[in-house]
Amino acid sequence: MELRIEDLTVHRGGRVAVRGVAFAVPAGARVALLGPNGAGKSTLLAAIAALVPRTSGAVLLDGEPAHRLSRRTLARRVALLEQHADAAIALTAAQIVELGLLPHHRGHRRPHDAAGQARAALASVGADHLADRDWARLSGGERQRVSVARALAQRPALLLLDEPTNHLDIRAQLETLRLVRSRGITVVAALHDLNHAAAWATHVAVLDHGGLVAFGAPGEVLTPALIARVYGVTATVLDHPGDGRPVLALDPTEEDS
Amino acid sequence: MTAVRGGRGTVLLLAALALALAASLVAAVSIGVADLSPAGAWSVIAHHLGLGGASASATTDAIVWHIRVPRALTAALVGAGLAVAGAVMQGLTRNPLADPYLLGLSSGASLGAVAVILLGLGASVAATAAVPLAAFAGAAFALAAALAIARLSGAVTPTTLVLAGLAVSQFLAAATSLVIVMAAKGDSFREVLSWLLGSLAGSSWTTVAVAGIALAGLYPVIRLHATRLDAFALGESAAAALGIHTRRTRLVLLGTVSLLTGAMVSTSGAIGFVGLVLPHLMRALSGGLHRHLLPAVALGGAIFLVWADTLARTVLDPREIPVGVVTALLGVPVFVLVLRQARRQSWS
Repeated sequence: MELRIEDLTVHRGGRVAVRGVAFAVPAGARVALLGPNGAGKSTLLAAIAALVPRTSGAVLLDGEPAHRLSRRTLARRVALLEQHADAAIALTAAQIVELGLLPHHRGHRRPHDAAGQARAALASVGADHLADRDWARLSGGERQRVSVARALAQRPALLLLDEPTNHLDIRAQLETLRLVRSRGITVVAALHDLNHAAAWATHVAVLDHGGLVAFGAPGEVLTPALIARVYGVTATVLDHPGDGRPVLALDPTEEDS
Repeated sequence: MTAVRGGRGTVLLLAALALALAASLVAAVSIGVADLSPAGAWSVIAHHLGLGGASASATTDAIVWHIRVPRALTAALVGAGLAVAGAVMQGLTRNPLADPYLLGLSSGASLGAVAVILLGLGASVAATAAVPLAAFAGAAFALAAALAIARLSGAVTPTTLVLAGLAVSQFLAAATSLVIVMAAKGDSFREVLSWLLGSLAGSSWTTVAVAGIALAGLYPVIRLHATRLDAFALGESAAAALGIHTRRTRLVLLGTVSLLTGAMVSTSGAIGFVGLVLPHLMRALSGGLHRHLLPAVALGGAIFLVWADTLARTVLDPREIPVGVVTALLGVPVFVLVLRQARRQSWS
């Protein structure tokens, strides 16, 4: 799905959380949303999913304004994975994944092959063996895998991920990013790790204080100057000896004394 | 305990619970101060249902058909209604302590019912409808007040909601006592107790009708929202991202729960712990999927209250204990066990 954000401004909690953000990516793009805490990444994701009201501007999904679509129509096209998955849910992995089919229910009736579709979604992320396990007993990495399966069960054309690698060990972090790659769907993920962004994304959007300060290919955007300005750290950009992608070595910026 | 898996396990569980409920009703009708054999009691029932059976003495007939049968049925319906109300509130607020009694709905319903009764509508047909409606208004008011007070401190968290609910509950219970003591004649002390702690002593075929109509009308509405309730477990915005109109769904379900609580409290006063304990107990058996959980909770709540009431009217024979005392004495230890179980499951 082609995603176009036009001059989007969102107020949240009485202040501007997203300020005049505009960018566009073609179908199949992987966008890393970067920026320090409070830069507006989560709000921007929520606004793309039309979960928070916009003040002005628009989010266009294949040219259609998201705010004109019904909740259910939107949920058939856009899936959102949030940061914090509650541990205390008394459902099994398969039951959680089946909730991804909710937008495809007819009225109050679930599709007759709902269980089968849930299993297929689990299998597509290599988690068939978790189907009957209790959510509360899964590890962080397993939960993330199941959550991705739930989002995929929704059959979205646009997948939004809010810090999908948080609280995961390194292997699970890389696995999660791999799972949402090469599915032909557009993905927008708020990320903290600049190297994850450099290795995974086709486009990088950097937010600071709600505004978009840089947008483009990772190699063009992730420069020492930008990283110093936005994060206040000193970066050295190296070329990966294997595939030549940018690798960032970060050091605290020394204070002027 | 391991939750049953899949459809067949649920069908077996529900069948077992339905059988247990039938057996409990038989036992409840047979057990009592006036010693009647189950066979004697059931010949009276068969006689009234036109299934033959010898006509018993007028006393036996009155005890069985006009006292014990409606009382057991009211207990079952009220238990089912309160337990379902608790399950919905816990699912909707993601709060393991949400329950119509703790959050003040029951006290509000009591106050509404008492106010209408003391206005003196008497035993007219109008009163039969007015009391449950006033109880509903009281329950809805209490819920709105608890939510508003919880919101004063910012976001509504499980903790602020329970604290606000406790405050509302205590206030409305005190108001109920005050209204009764000021306006009632005669044995107002008993009256206060039965509204605040619950009692099924006033059961009749009218209370069966009120509780039965409420449950038959409102349970299907709740059952229709079962999958949406599951989605609420993921969090409010995750539910919205799944295409659910969260505000509308919450309004419909909280309104339904207020109606249900109002109807139940208007027949039997504010009975605690049924709505709190049964959902936890049944979740351990049926799992958390609401289309499995809701029918299990309804049957479990019915069984629980039938037995609690049977104990309430027989243990201190000839005196009766308010049934809320029994539900608390039975419910709290069960709740502690369930909490311990939940803790082991989450952190092992």
